[in-house]
Amino acid sequence: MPQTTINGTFTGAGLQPEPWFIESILTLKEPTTASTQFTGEPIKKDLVIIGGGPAGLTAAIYATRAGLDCIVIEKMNPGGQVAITPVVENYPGFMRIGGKSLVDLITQQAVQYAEVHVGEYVTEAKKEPDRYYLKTNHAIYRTRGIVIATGVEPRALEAPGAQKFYGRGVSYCATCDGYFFKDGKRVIVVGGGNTAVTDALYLHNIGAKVTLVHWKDVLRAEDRLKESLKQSGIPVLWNSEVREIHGDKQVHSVKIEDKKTGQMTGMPVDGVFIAVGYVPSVEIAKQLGAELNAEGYVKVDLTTMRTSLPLVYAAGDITGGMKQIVVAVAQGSMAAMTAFEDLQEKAK
Amino acid sequence: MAERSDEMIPDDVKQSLRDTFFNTLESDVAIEVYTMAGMNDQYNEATSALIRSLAGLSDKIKVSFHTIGDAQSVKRNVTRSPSVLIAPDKYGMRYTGSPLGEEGRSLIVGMLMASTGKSALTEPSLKRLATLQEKRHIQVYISPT
Repeated sequence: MPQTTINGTFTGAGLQPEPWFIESILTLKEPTTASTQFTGEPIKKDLVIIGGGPAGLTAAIYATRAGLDCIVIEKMNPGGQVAITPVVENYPGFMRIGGKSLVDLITQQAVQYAEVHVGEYVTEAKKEPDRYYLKTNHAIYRTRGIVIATGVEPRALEAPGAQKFYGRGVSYCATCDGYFFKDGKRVIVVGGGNTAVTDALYLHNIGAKVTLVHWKDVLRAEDRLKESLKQSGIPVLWNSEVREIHGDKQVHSVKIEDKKTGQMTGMPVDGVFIAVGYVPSVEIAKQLGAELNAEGYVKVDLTTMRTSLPLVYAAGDITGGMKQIVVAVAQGSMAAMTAFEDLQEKAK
Repeated sequence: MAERSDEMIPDDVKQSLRDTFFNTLESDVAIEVYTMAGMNDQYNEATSALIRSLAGLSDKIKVSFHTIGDAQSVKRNVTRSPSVLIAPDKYGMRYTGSPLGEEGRSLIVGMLMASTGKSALTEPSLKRLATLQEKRHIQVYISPT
């Protein structure tokens, strides 16, 4: 992941939306919010798809093919979580493909059908009598329907130092930052699910000295990955939680608690990769007033992808469940086709 | 047998680059490549080959090759090998290391902007930036993955 410094001061990791970058140039600080200034005529659309991951991009392909005028707006980079997945081995048609490569293929296909606006994000969303109003950092849209495909973000590790050393040894993206640790650097991966094990294997394969730290005595990851982990010889610290992350300019050590004995042990490390689950990005769904389920994901009818709001659909990781690429693309197509049917019905 | 510089970019990509980018170049763009034997040789070779390949796509791209330690490198304050400077008389844009992979795109966009003098920033951003009085030194660190 790119790291930006201005006049020697760190101002941000990853691709920033343009207004944020401009603010950081002016203020020499990592921006938390950016002013949005927009003047222009509202743009009318049949369907605005919020989020450019596999679900949103597939929705765009299907919606346009059905004859709807649609657009995809994507806050950061197309691809969502897949873009930062080192290797994908369970997407039919590809025995093994890099997450970024798969995303590039889906994006290339989607842009043949619809505009994909990168770096654009919704700042205000509300229902109007006949349409939905969406204000972004670039434009105002008045759209008949919306597909919410805003996905999930990695869950933050709640340990002192995790935030302070983010981008300085602490990372949520092994694909992005793993390269810095390739030459035998000592890293831990925190977590026990598919993402944690995939990241651990990736880091191991590029030459980092990896230890997996998991808070339970059994992994959630699928059997195939567990087997690969075993074969790799990557050590696992079971029943263990990272309690503190220490460093000066960069991370240099962690304190790990053995939950069975309560004993705290210091461990020198150069990097901490965190994969402890996800939180759904539901801000826009909430603004619109869409109902959420008990786990905080957008509630949908899984046969149509309709939310509790008329002509608002949700697809992909934002709906919870499996969090698989094939599920996201399936839901994206279903959302688009239901939108097409509903909009036709409404026009009658 | 094809020369090494030809191997860097396949023919269909070259044609597509010509059609989409290099036909829109306006004024000449000076590209200066700085290397030093013994310092990151693999990257020096890859960088020189890439820049030669790109220069072959338009006569508006004016490439010169320099050695770190020579008068020109002292003038430009270049000490790391390889380094690529884009339109150094007009702008302060430089790559340290090889502009390969994802950076290939930013290299080409950089050339295009240097040639046309146009920015991709929006009007509100340009207005905000116009208020800035002091110098800014922007560095982006990228890993090749």
